[in-house]
Amino acid sequence: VGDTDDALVLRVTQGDKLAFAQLVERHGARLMALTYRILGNRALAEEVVQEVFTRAWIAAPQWRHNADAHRAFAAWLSRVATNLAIDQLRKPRGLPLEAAPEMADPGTDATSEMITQERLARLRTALVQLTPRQRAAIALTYDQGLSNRAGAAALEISVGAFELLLVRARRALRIAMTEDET
Amino acid sequence: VTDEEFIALLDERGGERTCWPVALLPATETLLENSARARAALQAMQRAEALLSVAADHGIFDAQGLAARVSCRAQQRTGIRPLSLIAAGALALAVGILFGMTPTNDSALIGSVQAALNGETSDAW
Repeated sequence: VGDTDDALVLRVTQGDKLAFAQLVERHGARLMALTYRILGNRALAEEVVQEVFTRAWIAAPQWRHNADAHRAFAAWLSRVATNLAIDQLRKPRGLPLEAAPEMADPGTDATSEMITQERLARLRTALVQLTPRQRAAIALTYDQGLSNRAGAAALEISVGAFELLLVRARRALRIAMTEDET
Repeated sequence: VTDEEFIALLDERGGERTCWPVALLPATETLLENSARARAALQAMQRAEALLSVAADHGIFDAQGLAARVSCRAQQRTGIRPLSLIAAGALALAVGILFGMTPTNDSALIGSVQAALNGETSDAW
């Protein structure tokens, strides 16, 4: 609810910090989820998101005359965030992937909570072992809810290549989550 | 549909039945009734997909703090643009060339040049 992205971007081009804060509020958490999934490190993810919005601020004038600014702006943010996160992993300093915050669910008993935590640990281990692009494909599909076409555009690859990344990533996660049912 | 085909379908489309080809649904249901391996694969995929949202949780996101930091950083970065420096350098060069090509107003120098051209020189050979 509120101004559309294009209206906010127009205000940003006029130096409106409040409009900019609204854009960060609207897209920030989504981009954090995306970059955190790829990087597995909160500090690095926040650094990347900060850089994405810095570039958005600087690039704001180019969105003024874009008739499809709402969708285009959101897609642009995803694309820049994905690529910056992958680039970040290529840097030699590479901070280790950290454990995600523990999720306390008051509605479950201790045993099922323990099982959930054990499964989560296995899933995280499997995610860490994926390539950055496979993690990005998972994030764009499951966290961002993008279609294969939009995901491919965010990664700047063909739809076929994106689908291949997804197949390999899903296979790895499925195998990691397979349990002996007997 | 064989186990292998079903597992390939899972890897390609995920564990959500609505994402599978409609034409394959009856055959997959039959397979799931009869194959423990297919059921285990489906459960594993659905487990992974259900937990993905939990595993992506990154804690609290401070949007206002980030917006404030970004606007400061962006202003710092756009304060002096490299392009402006290049433009200023080019302008200075152009002004330098322009002044360098302008004839001087030194009448003594002009007079001596004219005298030399007219052969009115006192140089002895």
